[in-house]
Amino acid sequence: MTVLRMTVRACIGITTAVVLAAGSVFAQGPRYAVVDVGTLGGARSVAVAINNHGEVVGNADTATGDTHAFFSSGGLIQDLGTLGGQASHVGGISDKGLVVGRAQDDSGVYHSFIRLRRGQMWNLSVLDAKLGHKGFSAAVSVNGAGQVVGYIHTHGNHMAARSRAFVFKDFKVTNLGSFGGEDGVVAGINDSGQIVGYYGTEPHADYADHRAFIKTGATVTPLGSMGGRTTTPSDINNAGHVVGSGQIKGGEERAFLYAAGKLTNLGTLPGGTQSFAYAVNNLGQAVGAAEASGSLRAVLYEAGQIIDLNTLIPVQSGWLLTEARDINDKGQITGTGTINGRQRAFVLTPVR
Amino acid sequence: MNVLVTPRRRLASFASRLSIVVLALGTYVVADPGQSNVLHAQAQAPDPQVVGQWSASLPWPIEAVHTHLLPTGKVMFYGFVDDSRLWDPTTGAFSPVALAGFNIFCTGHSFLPDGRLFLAGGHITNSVGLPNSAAYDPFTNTWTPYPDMNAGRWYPTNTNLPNGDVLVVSGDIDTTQRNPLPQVWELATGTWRDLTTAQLVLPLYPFMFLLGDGRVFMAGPGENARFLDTSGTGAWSAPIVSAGGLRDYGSAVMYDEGKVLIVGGNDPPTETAEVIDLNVATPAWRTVAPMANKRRQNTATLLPDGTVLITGGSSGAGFDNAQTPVLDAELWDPLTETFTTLPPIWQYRGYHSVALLLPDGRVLSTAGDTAGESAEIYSPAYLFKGPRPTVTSAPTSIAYTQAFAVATPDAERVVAVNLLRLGSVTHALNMDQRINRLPFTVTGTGLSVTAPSTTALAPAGYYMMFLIDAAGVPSVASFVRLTDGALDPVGPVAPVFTVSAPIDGAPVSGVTTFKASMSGMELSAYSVFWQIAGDRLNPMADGTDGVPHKAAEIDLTDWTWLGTGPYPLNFVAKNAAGETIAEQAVNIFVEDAPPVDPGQPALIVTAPTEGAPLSGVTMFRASMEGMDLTAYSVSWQIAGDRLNPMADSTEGGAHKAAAIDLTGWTWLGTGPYPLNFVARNAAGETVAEQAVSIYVTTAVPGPTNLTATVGTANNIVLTWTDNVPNDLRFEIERCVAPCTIFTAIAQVGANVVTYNNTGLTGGTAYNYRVRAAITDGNTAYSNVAGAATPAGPGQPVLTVTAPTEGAQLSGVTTFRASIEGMAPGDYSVSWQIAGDRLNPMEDNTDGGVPHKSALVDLSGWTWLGTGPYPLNFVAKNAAGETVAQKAVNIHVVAAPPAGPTPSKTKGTK
Repeated sequence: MTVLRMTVRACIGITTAVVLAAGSVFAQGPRYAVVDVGTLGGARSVAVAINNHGEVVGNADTATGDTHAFFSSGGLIQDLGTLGGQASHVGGISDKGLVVGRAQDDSGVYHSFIRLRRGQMWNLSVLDAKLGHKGFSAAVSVNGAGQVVGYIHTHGNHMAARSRAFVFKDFKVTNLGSFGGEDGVVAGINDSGQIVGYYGTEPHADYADHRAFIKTGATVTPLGSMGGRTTTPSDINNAGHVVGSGQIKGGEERAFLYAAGKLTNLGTLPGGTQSFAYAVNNLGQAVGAAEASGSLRAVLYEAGQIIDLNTLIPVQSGWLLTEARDINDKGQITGTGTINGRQRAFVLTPVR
Repeated sequence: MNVLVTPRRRLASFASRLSIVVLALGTYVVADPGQSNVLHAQAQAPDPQVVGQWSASLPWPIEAVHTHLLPTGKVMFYGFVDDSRLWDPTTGAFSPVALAGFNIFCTGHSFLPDGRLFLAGGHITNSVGLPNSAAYDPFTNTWTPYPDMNAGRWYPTNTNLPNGDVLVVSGDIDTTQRNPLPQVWELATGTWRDLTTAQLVLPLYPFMFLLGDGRVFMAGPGENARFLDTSGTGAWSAPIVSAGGLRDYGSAVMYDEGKVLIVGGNDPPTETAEVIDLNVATPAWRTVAPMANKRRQNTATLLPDGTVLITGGSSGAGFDNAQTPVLDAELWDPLTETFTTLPPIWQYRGYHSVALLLPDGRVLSTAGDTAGESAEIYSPAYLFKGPRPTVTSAPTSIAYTQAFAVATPDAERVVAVNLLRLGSVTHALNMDQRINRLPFTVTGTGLSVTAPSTTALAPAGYYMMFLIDAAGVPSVASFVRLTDGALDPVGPVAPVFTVSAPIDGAPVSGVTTFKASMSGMELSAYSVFWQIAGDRLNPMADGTDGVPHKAAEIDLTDWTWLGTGPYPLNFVAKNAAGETIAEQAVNIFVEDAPPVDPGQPALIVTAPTEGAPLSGVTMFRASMEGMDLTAYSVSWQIAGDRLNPMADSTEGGAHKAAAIDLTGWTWLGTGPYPLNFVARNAAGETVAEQAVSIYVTTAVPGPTNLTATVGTANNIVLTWTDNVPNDLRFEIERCVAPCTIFTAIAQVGANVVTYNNTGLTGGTAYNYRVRAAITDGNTAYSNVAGAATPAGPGQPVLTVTAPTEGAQLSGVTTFRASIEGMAPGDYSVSWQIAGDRLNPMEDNTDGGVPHKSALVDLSGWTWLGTGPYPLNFVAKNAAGETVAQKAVNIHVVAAPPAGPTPSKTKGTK
């Protein structure tokens, strides 16, 4: 009965902090069915995102060894192709099936792309000349309103390059700049247009010191620090709750939840040294990865607990789930694991 | 000592050229302790016998972010792009290296048993890594690509394993993901093995060391050190926590078998250092005496005598703080575990700087984003302490546990024989640095030395062997190859292709001579050709003045160039069979090229680019230089077909644009087609033309003669003609007429030319098209054929009253549909646009006629562009069965990707 009560609380607990603060004990036995998403003819696949229709996007090897973005629905996997080059990588998918990411053109340059539920990949650099430079750009997230966020690198030269965030909507790109820092990188956008990302306190935020923020309208609010020099957000839900990971003093990473103005350390699995939160749904459930005995496990952050998802799937499944990248509002989770020695994207669907 | 140090620092900060410094101090003489011709500072106070000496600052061709000592004795280095160079420490000469074919900046690297340099990862952009791997053969100047890793790696670390395999860990996939999967590149197969049970997010360029028991030790830079068992699917040990905490951009070195030093790093930087002895049962970090200076971005370099040289770095807070350079070098003695301050370097060497031990015992210090394209060479004190031991002869190849003879007249004063592995360094970390102290005895002619006992203690490959005398003076290194017969018994000796003229980057004009040669081959056994900027190959003649070579004398006078600047000059060597056996490229610099006559205003085509493969919807863009948009028009034509006008656009600068949907076009076949742009002035006179080639790949003729015939059971039978001899299958697509966007509904096998589409809705018109799948894609589509299923007795007919066919829609609009004769409660209607999801409509009695309606706000929708879109209505009965469908086309004016931007109508509710 505790299980049922907690499930109900989790479902109605829009205030994630409350949900996470509660205790929980889960019954034994599988909670999820696990499905192998497959590949595009090659050996491996990794999942990136899942929408509320259970449609999954990620990246998979083709028969020729290239990596292509894929779209998977109803057990079928589809190669989303490229912009003429060898590789493409997914950033996210909306409930309307709008897929975004980055793909190489025939000269090997990566451009942001969008793709409707059916049809071809569109090069944002073609749709708006503001992205039509020769440098790198990547679309990383899309919300239910069709707003796409991403970032560009202003220059091909490593030292001269600066990251600038953008939002794309209605064939128009708006430069969001660098949020007051040296560089600006975005990670996610929710349905009301709130954006999370990070900016560098000195050049090259992506690997130098950087701070996470949430942008609401014109207001940029820093999320704070976990004690180290970097705080890296991954996702924001419609309640404005943010998850990600932050460096602690010794250099390891800890998953965090930011809600109601407070940054909360989500902890680690017993004995572990690192944890990450990659996504949070509108019920306040978060997923990610955390170390147990020297290797990462896919985890669910729910009701104040961090749970190894490997304990919630059939014991004989043959899977080792190593990271969970996204969770939808139906509780379906997608991520990457190992089965038969191969990296494969998986989908977990609640069975109870 | 500080008396001189201070002015030198000041001078260094003001003077970029050493020659100024030399003249100003007036206290420098030419010295040659390391058998080189460079100037050496001989300051008044610091005694080089005690603290060594820095050379002058030398110009360097590029910023050598990644630097390696090759088994040929040359130093290979590259910076931010795929542009490697060689430097010969004995002559000071630079020469180019073959291209890897991908951006090798930000790779991990280490040497394979056969002396090749193995690279993993690479640079797409900051924090976005390539998955590539490849090996560079220094004996043949060639690259061998290997399979991609699981994903990209930007800043990974390579570690040699005992069996010749290479462990690769860490590196960024992109800004959202670090690659957590350790992988082992297997020498025997050239493929990757995943350590799926050892996945951790590690720091960038982690400090990894192979131990004598075969495990790999991660010493940092995070506070948690661990052992990695690379067998099977891998396993990390529990962490060993260091007292110093995070040491990012500090450095680490295994200074003896199983003993590791970590030093500096963190932000703000630390001067602390720790050691760990991994040979004991319970290893633990132990803090030792600190450096004199706090620093990060420093490099630790093992010297022949086992001491560790610390160079470069910054003491101030920040990632790469050039305002607080640490110029003083320091030397760590593993016996006393203390640091000694050494003379300062000339300039700040921080992020991206490196240091590398050279075969003559000196240390090359170069790069860094502040000092950039310059280098200094440090001559340690041991080079000033007396005559060096000499080696008369030594084997070039030795086997494990083997005793081998080293002939030397100085055997009696030799106290140590040390093997130093060839370094491979970047970003404050040397990934292939190791010392092995070899047992030896004195013989009548020299020494009898015993090679290392295992491949874990000393991985197979090339080493420098130094004899060290009682005064600590090392010999010049002998290169020896430590071989494990099981790994690679064949020595890599192959011809080397060298271009001796022109030198890379040389300015050329008038009459100039090109020279190239292939070592170890008779002139008659090969030929060499030159080509500039990909132009034709031109043969070279035999030249015998000096070393036999191939030569060509070229008169560049009156050549037409695109302008002043560098041009690639490629040399191609072929064997007697005409097969290309080597290539070598240099840049030549053409000065004072006459400017191209600007002539008439030029028509500039920015899209498509020359040779671009086109399909689907694509944009053409062109503009007249210096002309107002209103002053001219531009039209495009393909393959001489009709001229089509382009529209004005100011997106990203004023130009003419046209969005072209090539879908469904009929082409003559796959291949290039000329696309011509014609600009006319206001009077209609042609003022400029510009042509580009486009490459069309969807031009394979498809099926023809598609017919659609209505059957008797709500079915339509399709037939077509198969024109494709190598079809794999046929794909049938359908839409509810009128329509433009088809949806795939079925496939049939190769050579099948009919399909029965059953289960259709009565009273509905359908359109079909068919194409064949072929090996490299799809053919063109067939013609479109349509047929309508009859409305059966009592078959409901769905009537759509809004929108009307072809209506232009925007903002808030209303859809209306109804079935005459059915009660509103007996059916439902849904609408969908362009095959997207079905959206329910509601009952409505406005106007007195019961119908279904939906109020739709099209504001903020994302469209593919302005144009017609199919709007389909689907009626279902109470049982949920589709009973009727009806489609209309709507015209949507979307915010266009180019061209005039119409004002957007904002819907209101």
